[in-house]
Amino acid sequence: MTRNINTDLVAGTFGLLLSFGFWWLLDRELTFLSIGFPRAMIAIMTLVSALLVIKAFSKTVERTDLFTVGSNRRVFVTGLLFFGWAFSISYLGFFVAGVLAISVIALYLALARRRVSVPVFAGWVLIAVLEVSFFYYVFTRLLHIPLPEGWFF
Amino acid sequence: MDIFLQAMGELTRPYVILLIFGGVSAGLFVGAMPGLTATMALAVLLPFTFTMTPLNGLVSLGAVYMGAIYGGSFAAILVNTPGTPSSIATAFEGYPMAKQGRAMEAIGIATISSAIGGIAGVLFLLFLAPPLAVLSIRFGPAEFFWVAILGLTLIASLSEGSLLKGLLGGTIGIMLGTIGVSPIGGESRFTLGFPVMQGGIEMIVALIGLFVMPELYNMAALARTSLGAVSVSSKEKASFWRVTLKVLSKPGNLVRSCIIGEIVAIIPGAGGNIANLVAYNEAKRASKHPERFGTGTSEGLIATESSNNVTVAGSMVPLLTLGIPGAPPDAVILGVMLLHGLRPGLELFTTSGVLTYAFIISMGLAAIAMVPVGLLGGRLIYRVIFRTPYYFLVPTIGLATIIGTFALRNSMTDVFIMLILGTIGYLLKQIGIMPAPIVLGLILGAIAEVGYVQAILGGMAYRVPQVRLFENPLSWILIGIVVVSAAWPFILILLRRMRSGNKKGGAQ
Repeated sequence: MTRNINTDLVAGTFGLLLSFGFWWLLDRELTFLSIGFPRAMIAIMTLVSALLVIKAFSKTVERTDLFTVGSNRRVFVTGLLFFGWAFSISYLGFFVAGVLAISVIALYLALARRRVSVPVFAGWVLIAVLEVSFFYYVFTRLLHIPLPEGWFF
Repeated sequence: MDIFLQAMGELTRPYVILLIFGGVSAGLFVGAMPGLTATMALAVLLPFTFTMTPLNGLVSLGAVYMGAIYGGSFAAILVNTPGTPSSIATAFEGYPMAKQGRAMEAIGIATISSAIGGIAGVLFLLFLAPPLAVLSIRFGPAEFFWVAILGLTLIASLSEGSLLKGLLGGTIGIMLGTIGVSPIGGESRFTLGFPVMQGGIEMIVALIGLFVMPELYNMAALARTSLGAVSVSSKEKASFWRVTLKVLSKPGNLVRSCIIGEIVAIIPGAGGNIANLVAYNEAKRASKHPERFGTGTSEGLIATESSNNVTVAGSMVPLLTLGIPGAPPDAVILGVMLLHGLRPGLELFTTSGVLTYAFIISMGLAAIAMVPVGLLGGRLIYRVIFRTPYYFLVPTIGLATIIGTFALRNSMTDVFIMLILGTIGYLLKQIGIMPAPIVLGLILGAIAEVGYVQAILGGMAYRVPQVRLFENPLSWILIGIVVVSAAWPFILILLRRMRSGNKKGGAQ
């Protein structure tokens, strides 16, 4: 499937929407000290975005094939797994969530290239435990940075 | 001279040498971890220095600082993730080199350049501290504003093709930087009513998200790592002497980058974050082959790594002479000095001269110690990363980024912001909006805003307060550099046209 897209138009439209979003969120009751600089920047962002939209209809328009490298499904699922990892930390705690997430992401990505038997996966879980333990030790014991705790520890 | 010799004598003790090597190694480890900054490394190690003598404490912190700034290059070269903001531009050249199987060469170049930069910073500090300190206090809000604008002109060279998209990325970064409590007005902006957003978007959170996450998504998409295998020829090229010769073969680039690093370093509040980008841009501008930048050139890598390490000792100029920290890590060092009853100023170089000079020279020794520590550590880290299968590398880097982001402010919100920015960064990269201009906007936008608003406040007595931005001769110089910098791409085009016109004329 070809995904040849006018990226100037996409970028310009995105910029205009973002400018509008920031402009809409700008609290008009703020003093000049807080509002002056962002207001000027919103104006510049709007101008740049508008120029991109104009360029999108000119001869120098930039067209690019998007999302053509590798598997987009894998990117999407990996993204979901990362967000799930961050979300689960508050419930499972840093250690358990880390071991689970590393094992699952490693298994999912490995399946793209090879078959994974149960003993091999068990070995990976052990590696994940060691890896997370190392970071856990360095941060909590050496650097004295408390890590999030959940149902377990 | 007596003080100088006594200071040298203090540094020959084996325990002090051990502290230097230990500090550089610890700093290298922290710097190589995305999210852990030099400031954080110094702050964490601070309590350990309480029981030490003033010299041992300062030597340790100086070595950690030097190692951490250099350590940032490892992650930048091997996983396209600047370990610290001082190595943003290192990733532009180092990572393409690693992809070509030249990772060891890149690490070697970064090591030698960092060591030279570190030593240059010490020499600047030893011999030019008083005049440079006078210059540093001339920087007011207006000058800060123009320095930030000068930095923003770098967008032209970071845009990779489309200047408009680079500018859009820059403004997106600036606007992201305005989220949270306003630095001067103290009012909340763009927080969507969420109190957690009042702290704004931490620059390092954005840096990690925008640089690391797209790379992880890329690895997941391709189901392989992007690092190239080191060939026999590239192993030869990575030998110590060949790399040293390569670094020294373009002395102009090295000297220019060190001077840029020093100038940026003495400006309080600036530091390696800005120095590496400015030096990279100037190296590209001065190069005979600017089109090769971004594809793995040694010139860019030398510029960025030498300039950021100059700032370590360079930023001590305003600290030791005026008590003004040149960069955030210097504030920690100032704390240690005050704790031991050492007050910045002339007294520091006279009454406590032995201690002060020993501390300064120890940073030079730390720069030298980076060579063996860095080359050995670099090989080890490269082997570990290269031999780790992609399906373990992705979650392992993910773990390091999540924990590093969390550790910044003990905030899970930061982790979510990092992931969201990373995902958006991946999508924006697809349409040609690169992460570098966004990060640049985020870093410099905050400096520009503070400079602009303070200058306007200072000019309230005038009919047009903005006049304040154009008042001082130093501002004029900076404005001149900004104009030349912004117009440079067009000047180059004009020069090329003139040259080709002359050649055609000559041929006829």
